[in-house]
Amino acid sequence: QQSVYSTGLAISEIVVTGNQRIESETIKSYLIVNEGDDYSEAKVDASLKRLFNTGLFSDVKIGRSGDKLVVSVVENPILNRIVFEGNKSKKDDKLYEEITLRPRIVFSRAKVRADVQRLLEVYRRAGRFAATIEPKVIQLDQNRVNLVFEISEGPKSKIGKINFMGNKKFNNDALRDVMATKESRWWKILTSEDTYDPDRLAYDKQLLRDYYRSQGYADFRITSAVAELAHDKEHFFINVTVEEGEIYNFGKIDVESKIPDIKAEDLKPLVVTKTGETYDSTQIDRTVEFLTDVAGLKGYAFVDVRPRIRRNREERTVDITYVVNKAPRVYVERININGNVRTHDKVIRREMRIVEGDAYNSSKVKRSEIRIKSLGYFKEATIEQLEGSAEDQTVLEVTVEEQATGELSVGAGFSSSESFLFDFSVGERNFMGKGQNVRLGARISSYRKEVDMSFTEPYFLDRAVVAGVDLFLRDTDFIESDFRQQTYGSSLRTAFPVTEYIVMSGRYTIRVDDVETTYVSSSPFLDNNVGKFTTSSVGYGISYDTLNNRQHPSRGQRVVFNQDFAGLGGNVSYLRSRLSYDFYYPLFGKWVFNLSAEGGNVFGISEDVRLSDRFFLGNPKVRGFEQGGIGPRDDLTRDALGGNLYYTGSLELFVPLGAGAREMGIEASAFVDMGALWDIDEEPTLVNDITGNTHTVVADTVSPRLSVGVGFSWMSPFGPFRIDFAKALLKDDYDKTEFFQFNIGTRF
Amino acid sequence: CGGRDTLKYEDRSVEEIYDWALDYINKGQYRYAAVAFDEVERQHPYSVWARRAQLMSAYSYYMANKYEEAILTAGRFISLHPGNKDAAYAYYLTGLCYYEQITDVRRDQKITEQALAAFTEVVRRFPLSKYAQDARLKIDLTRDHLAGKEMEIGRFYQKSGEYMSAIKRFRTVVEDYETTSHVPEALHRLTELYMTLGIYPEALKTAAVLGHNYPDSKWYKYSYELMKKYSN
Amino acid sequence: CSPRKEVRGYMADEKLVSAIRPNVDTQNSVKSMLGSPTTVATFDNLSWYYYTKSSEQFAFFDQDITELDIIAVRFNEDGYVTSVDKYNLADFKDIDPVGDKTKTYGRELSFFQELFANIGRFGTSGPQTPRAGN
Repeated sequence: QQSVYSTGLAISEIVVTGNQRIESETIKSYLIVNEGDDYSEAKVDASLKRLFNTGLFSDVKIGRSGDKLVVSVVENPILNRIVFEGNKSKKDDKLYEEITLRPRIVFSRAKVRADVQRLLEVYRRAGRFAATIEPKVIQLDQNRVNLVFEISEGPKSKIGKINFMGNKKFNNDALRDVMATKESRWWKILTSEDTYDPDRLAYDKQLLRDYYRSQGYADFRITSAVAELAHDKEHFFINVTVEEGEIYNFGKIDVESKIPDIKAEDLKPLVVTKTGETYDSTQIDRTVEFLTDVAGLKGYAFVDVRPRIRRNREERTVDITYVVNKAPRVYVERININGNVRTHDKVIRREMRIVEGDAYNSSKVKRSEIRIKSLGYFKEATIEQLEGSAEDQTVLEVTVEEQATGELSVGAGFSSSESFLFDFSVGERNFMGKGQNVRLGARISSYRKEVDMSFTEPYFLDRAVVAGVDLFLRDTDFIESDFRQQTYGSSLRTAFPVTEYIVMSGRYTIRVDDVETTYVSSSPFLDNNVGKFTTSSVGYGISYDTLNNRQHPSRGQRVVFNQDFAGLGGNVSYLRSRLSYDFYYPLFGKWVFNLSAEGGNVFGISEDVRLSDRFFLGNPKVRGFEQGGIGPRDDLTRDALGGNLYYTGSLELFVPLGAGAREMGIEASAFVDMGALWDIDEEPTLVNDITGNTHTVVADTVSPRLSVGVGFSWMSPFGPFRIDFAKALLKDDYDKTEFFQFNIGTRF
Repeated sequence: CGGRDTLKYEDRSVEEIYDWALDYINKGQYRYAAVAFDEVERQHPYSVWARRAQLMSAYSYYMANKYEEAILTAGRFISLHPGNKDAAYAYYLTGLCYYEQITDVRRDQKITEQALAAFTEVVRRFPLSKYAQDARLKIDLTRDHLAGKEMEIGRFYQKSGEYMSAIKRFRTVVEDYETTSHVPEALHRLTELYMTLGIYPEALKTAAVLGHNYPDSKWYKYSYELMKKYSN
Repeated sequence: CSPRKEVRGYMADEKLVSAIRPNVDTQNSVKSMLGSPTTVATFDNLSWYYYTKSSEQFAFFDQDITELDIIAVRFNEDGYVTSVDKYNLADFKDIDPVGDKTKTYGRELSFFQELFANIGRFGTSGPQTPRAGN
């Protein structure tokens, strides 16, 4: 009963009511006031707030009755079961992972609202902006509830059309090509680039700005880039309005040093941007990098190079002054690497261009980040600068997010030269987290069976040396020369960069060939090739390579020279050399011109060169001819006999087809191929002992074969597709031509 | 419900399900035991058994190596019953779950740090509980492991010729991990590095400390030979 | 094809270093003039080391140290500078570190787990710590 008058302010007892699951001691432990304390409004409020923060209660009241403090609570219900209804494109467990609510935890409205947002975010990332989610709470007995997320996913909001306003200098196709967001097409089933994603659109703006700014448009601005959802809520229309401005050239270029000991004259020769050249923002960035590096090498690591840009609108020139400022003297005291759940610490640390104790230099940190990303093992790699133990010390936090680096690929194909083709390969690019590459492959076609395994260590003995070992097993039926060769062997290889563009390599190969002819009346010229041969050869190579892209080069050149000496043991000895040259140059924006030439010679040392060790020439190096369709041939059996010497040359122009085609990834090319193969060690005429026929060598001439043709390649979602039509204009009567060649490969 | 294999335990008495769960534990079928204990709590959240079942469920998940669920369940117990004497076990169990996932020193040691944090919590909140003693042991082992990572990076820098970066790492081991098994080697490495840089007095002092504190360690033998060879 | 040049560590300013006077300058004055040392003596903090190394490296061959400057500022118990010693390339000795290692434990990913665990999704770096609120 209520005591009429409380004797003093002290609280004699705290009474907790309304709690079912949570013990009273637990609730009391959250209170700030305890028994014997004086009653104070402030303490009660603080206790109220703390109890609410636990998230365990839907309602809390603290009152006084006499000298007792009464804490009455209503516990939040317990979540019994979570159910998703209406989700089609996203499975239950995928959604379950995204939310924080779990069965048997304490249910609260705030958590449900937060989880609804998380689920909406999942659908927005998947391009479904019309998705709606309704949480339904079903009361159960014993203060328990069930939670149902009623989801209506709505359609994927595809990109209907991307249109541009204000672009006079580059047409819509060129600009669409630059953007990461693509218009959706029926055949684009595998890609997700054609769904609307606001982050990607922001990234697109950056891409467009970089594109224009690297082609002279210093004034380029995007006035607006808006995505409107069509009334059918199915498609988005993206409208980008741009102000291109005019092309600028570089005007006065100057270097100004704010650091007494650094003289501007020393740095001037390093400036990449030259007066008169078209304005290009990437050249400015490269200049900043060069100047920072040189200052660093001269002992001034604390420099901050800033380009000061002044536009003169009339002359349309941009004057640039590179100002070399003093940067704060900060040293990196520690570099922490996080997120490498699989990759070893040193595989990442060895890519850093900065070590603990070094001066902090932003361009070196940026380059380190680029190097770590180019390893290809990480989805994400960022370097963050945190405070150190003193104001002139800093800590670098390198955080990576690993991605699956394992590849399992199964392919099937059909080509005019190898008919049916099936290949399988499993590989791992970051094996054991040590950055090593392991690959296991098998290839079976109608007349060739091949298995090979390779292991590569990119930093052999912790040095910048690539070392690898390969094992191979091959069983080939050379239909164009009527013999069958079974080969097994292994090779050790190494390669190391000498400069940024020059790489030297070395290899040792041990190989055993077992050759037999496929039928009696075969050409006598095969005799020197039949039997069991062991080839033990050592070789080296030098390559100079400035191509701007491995798969689709559009600029740069590559020169490769290889020489192999067989005769280090084994019963085969020859010296084989090959030299190849490739040159790519972009024309009129999107066209690419390619000139390539190649030559080779194999020279038997105190013995004839075996047929298998000679060169063979035809498709694909000289299109318009069958594989092995050019060069010395047996006049009776028409077998290709190969040759000790060859040269080839090719001029090719890659032409992007109109708008639609390029987007489908179709590329056309016109080409002129030429080449010749000649010289075998055997006598020009030999007699087949069994049949008694005399066989003579024909088409053994230096005179060049020539073919012209066109080709189409299509990167279909199912794999590369290539088709070539080539007419042989200059040929020898015995050469074997082939007008139409195609190759379909699927990768799934 | 929520991606867990559901067993039909609709409306059984709480004792019945609880005993059923215990049978599973005795039979070593920990995954089923865990699900059964969850049912006890789900159907009878207010029974006296519910609290006990929460703890047993966490234990069962741990025994079934389902570390994530064990940590989640133990975490729930801690948030509902922070003052309860069994909370010590819940913290301890969380520590064990992380401890058993510790990877080798060349990889991210976030899990090691989480184990260290959980065991430290056990020792701080429940110093007298029977788990505190083992927690203190595990704390030493996890700290030893973290010191191992510093050594790995120190050796990497030493081998790549970045002598001062290596010195900084080995110094961290000597100063921040002075009770670990890596200190003798760290002291030897410092002697090696100071000798390499020609700072003879510092090398001499470090080797002396190593000899004084770890006279019969193989690392002192290495340092002694090094000093003898280069004593000028 | 020229070797790759690299400068590591502290950026020394000769004028400031020579301005340090024994018995006058203290740890604070040295800190404000030269900044934080690259490292300090292991046990007593009475020696501060400022370390600079310049080197060239050609392809994969060992680095060729072209310049090594270590400034050692010595202090007495009261924190006053007693001497400033200099070490350079002449003092450098190419010592091979001992190959031995102190044993560490921790779970190694098994061979097959390595090769095949990584095709498709790979686990995150460990569960979140238990949140108090849930």
